[in-house]
Order: sequence, then C-alpha cells, then structure tokens
Amino acid sequence: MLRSPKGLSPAVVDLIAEQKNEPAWMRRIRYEGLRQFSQLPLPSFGPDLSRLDFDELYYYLKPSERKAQTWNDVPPEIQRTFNRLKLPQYEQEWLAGVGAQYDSENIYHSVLPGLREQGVLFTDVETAVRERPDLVKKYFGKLVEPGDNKFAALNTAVWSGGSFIYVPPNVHVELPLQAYFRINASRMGQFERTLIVADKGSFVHYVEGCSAPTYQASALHSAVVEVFAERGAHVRYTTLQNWSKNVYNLVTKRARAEAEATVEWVDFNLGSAVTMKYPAVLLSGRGARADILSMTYAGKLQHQDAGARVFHLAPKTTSVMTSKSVSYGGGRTTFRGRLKIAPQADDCRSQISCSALILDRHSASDTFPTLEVGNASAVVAHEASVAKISDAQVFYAATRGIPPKPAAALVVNGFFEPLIKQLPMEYAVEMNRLIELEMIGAVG
Amino acid sequence: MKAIVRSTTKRIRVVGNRDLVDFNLGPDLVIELTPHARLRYFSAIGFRQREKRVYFRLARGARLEAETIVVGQGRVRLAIDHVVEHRGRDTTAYNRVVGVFDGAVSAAVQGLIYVPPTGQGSVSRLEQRALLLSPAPAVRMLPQLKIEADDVDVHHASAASPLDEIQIFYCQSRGMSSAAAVRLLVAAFFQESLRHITDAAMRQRFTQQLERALLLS
Repeated sequence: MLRSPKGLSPAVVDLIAEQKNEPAWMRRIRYEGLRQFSQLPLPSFGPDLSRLDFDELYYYLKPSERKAQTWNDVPPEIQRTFNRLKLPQYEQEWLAGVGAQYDSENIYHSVLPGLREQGVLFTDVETAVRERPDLVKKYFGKLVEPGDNKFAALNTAVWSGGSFIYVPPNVHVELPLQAYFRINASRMGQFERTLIVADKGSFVHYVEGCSAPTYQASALHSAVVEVFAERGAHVRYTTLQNWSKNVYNLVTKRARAEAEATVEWVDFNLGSAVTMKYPAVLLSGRGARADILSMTYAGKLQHQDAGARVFHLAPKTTSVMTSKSVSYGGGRTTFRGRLKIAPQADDCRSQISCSALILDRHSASDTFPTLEVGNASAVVAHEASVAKISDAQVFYAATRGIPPKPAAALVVNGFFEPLIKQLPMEYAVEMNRLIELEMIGAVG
Repeated sequence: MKAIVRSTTKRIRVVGNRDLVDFNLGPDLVIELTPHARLRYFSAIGFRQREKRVYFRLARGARLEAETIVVGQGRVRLAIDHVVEHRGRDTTAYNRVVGVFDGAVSAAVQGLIYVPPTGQGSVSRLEQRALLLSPAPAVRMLPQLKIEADDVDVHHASAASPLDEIQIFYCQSRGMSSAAAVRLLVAAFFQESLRHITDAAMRQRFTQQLERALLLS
C-alpha cells in the first residue's frame, strides 16, 4: 500500500503522476488544475463546507500493486468487500463489464470479450492515457475545464482511476457497464475521472455505485464526469450514491449531446453528509434530447443539494428534468436547477417538475430553479410542490392493518416508484430495500 | 430571513380586510398582514413601474391573494421580486404573476415562498406565466421554495410559451386580421387577472390603458 503525505502540494501531484508513469501533457493538465484550485473560492451557494479541511485529507492511496482481470487475483480483503456488495455476482448475471475502484485505484476491470471485438473500450482513464492518447487528448477536460469550479480543479490536479468508455459508431452495448467506487480509508479523498464517448448512432448504459464505511473523520469524494454523445448516440448514466454519512460528495457532471443524440442522467442520492451535484447537458445539436431524473433522500445531519442543468443551444431540442426528494430527521434537500434556451435555439421544449416530501418538523426542503428563455418559440414549463405524508394515506393503510411506520415507508417507496422503475431490476429491488432501511426510525 | 429594507421602502400594515391596487406605490414594499387579515393585492408592471420588490409577511391565519400583470415592450428592463413569508400558523397565499413580453425586453421574474418552522399549516401557491410575442425577449423566471415546516401544502408553477398558432388561425378563419387575433388572445390571457381589481371604474380605466398599450406594440 502506498499513501501520499497529508495535504495537497505539487509533490503530491508529482507522486500521482509518477505512479501512473504519465506523459508530460497530462502532467501539465494536473499542474493547471492545482493552480486553479489554489485560486478559486469555495462555492458561494449551497451547503456549509467550512468544516472541510483540505490540509487534513490524503489525496492518493494505492491499495494494491496491480490491477486484476479476474476476481481471484484481487487481494482477499478487498475481494471480501466487493463480494458483500455482490459485484462479482452481478457481473456474472447481467453486466457487460465491471470496474471496481478501491480508494484511489482501479483494482479490477473486465468487459465481455464480444464487446472488445466490436471495439468497445471500457477501462480506467490511466490505461486510456497510455493506450488511446488520441481520444483522451480530444475529450479530456473539454466539457469540464480545470478552472470550471474549485472541485473540478481539485479533481484535475489529483484525479486517479474512474472509467473510460468508448463505443464505436452504431454499436449498441445492450447490457449495462458498471463501476463501483469504494472509499475504505479514513480522511481519504477519492477523485475518480470518468470519460464516456459514444460515437455516432451508438448506445451505452453506464451504472456507478459508491459506498464507504463510517469513520470519525470526514472523507471527500470529488469526481468529474464528462460524457460526449455524438450524432444519434444514446447514453444513459445511472448513479446510486450511498456514501457513508460523513462523506462530502462534491461532483461535477456534464454531457454534450450532438444532433439527434440523447443523454439521460439518472441520479439517486441516499448517502453522504453533504452532496453538491448538478448533472448538466449541453444540447448542442439539432433535435438533441436530455432527460434528467434526480432522487434525493436526506436524513439526520444530511444536506442533499442536487439538481440539473440543461442548456438548449440548438433548434428542436427537448429536455425533461424530474426531481423527487424526501427529508426527515433534520435533513435538508435542495433542488437547484437551471434551464437556458439560447437565442438561436428555435422550437425547443422543456419541462421541469419537482416534488418534495417532508416527514417531520425538523426537516426542510428548498427548490431553486432558474429558467432563462431567450427565444420566443420555446415552450417551457416548471412545477414544484412540497407536502407531507397525508393523514388520509396513513389512515387508509391503518384500515388495512398496516401500522404507521411501515405505512410511511410504503408511501415513500410509492413516491419514488416512477423513478426507481428506470433502474435495472436488481438495483430497483436494492433501492426499495435501502429506502425501507432508511425509513426505520424516520417516522413516528 | 429578513426583508431587505432600502431608503425607498414603504411599509404597509394590513388589518382586517383590504384591497390594495398598486399602480405606483414605489419599487420596494414590505406588506405585513396582521393575524387573520385578508389582502387582495393587484399590481401592474411595465406602465409607470418597471421594478417591484414586495415582501409579504403573513401572521397567524392571514390570507393573501396577489395578482400582478406585466407588460414588457421595446427595449425596457423589468424586474419583479416577490417574497411571501408564512411567519404565522395556518396562513394562505395565492400569488400569480402573468406577463406579456414583446420586442427586445429583458425581464426577471422572481418569487419565493418561505415557510419558517413557525409556519405550520401553511397553504401557498406561486404561479408565473409568460407569453412571448417577439423573437428576442430575454425572460428569466426564478420560482423558489424554502420550506422549513412539515405540515404545509405548497406549490409553484412557471410556464413560458409563444401564442398558440392554432388559436390565431382559428381567429383568422373567422375574418380577423393576425394583429387583431393576437390582441384578442393577449386580452384573454389577462382577463382573469383583471378581475382582481374590485373597483369597477378603476378596472375599466386600467383595461383601456392595457388595450392601448397592446395596440401600440
């Protein structure tokens, strides 16, 4: 195991670059990220980040000397963790490829041989830097530049692991590709980088899950995701975030959809102490489409500040943003959305809908959308509502012999159901169970 | 949360039932509804007023019905910012802003429903509707919710769109010119809001003023 010294410095950036034996051009990008990080302020909006101490974190931890291609080659203690998370089982049953990251490094990566033969690349970004520098140079940092925001700058400086996917023209990856991210050490920062390029007419569904054990000290997860959907491509990106309740989850996700392309973000946030995540889509080609589903669940001491951003930059583009949130036990959910219709984007359509449930008087919910309409042919609609579980629903359940707590869990599951249906079935079952577990003690 | 008080801010205290028509009460208002007060508030923006910031604070059992008409034409900049704070228990608010935007107008329509922990039992609605008549208006709509109580029933909705071409075609097929059809549909768009001016003579005068403004566009 190799761990960088505490805190962030040029020496830490050099250590990471040396471990990965990186070319000079990537090291220059890292230095630019470091420079921007030192200059940029923390976000002026959103949750309180004052307790996040950058000097107390470790920015790189390498758990194992080599990346495995079979689970038997993975160190036993790490293998046990992923076995408990059922990842090897899911890989056998219904996935086209799996990546597993433990702290800073990918420890396992595999993809079905048939897909490899079709030219599908599914690996970590380090491998792509070595083997496909042409693609990485073309796309890396083009949607999320090093100076985009403080956390994107941090990721650019110390990124490690993550996923790189390239799908050749007209190839449909029918089964999902999945990555699992695990923070296992205390005071650890995980900074994976994900880059997805779906070439013309292709399709891919990428699923990422994440978890961490609970330590006394906080951990930081600050990822950057860039998705490029070329003409007619379709990318679905699903996130199941279940970090432990002491992780700061500060993520930048952005996609660009060319003509007739579709990008879907399906985003479930259950864990973490603080989440700030606003998946964005730039609809830059005629007829492109964005669909963003966001589900957040905030319990005691949690603030889930999530949302969606869509920029209509071309004619005939459409978008749908749907958010559902539940807050309980003093938790706070915030939907922060932005919709922009550019002057040149004729005949665009967009719909935003947010609904929130507040389960007790200690909890809170905010909705902060911004709609900017710069073209008069646009049809834009937004609606939001906040309510509690109605007494009538609980009473109805009681008349059927269901006590109040399970009834509340039932209502919450029903509230999320339209979004959970978007998940592969195995995950949907898991999500329902997680919600039920979270609901124990949440009501009553 | 505190209302921003400027040197221009006017404070209005509402006791009992009151109708308030705001054609030119100034850009900044703090309107306090005392317990169980009822206020019907009507405001017009784009005529004599181009900026309007109103902070409504509702004490226990108070009820607000607020209606704002916005007409943006030419190259003007308009700004509307409403905050409705449900400070007391069992308060109710219906707040609607409807606007027509033509020419190169730039408009920001902001609205916040704030329910602090003391505002249990609140019912609140915020509606923003924008009709876009020209190719190049820049309209920003920011409907916001900040809810810190659980026993609430709160909704907001915003919509922006051009006139429905089918409706215009329908009018034209009955012999109307395109311009007359647009005027008719815009007048219909405002019709419901105008009902909130309870004084018939005042409503008549304002309707004529509105029609003149729409004729000029």
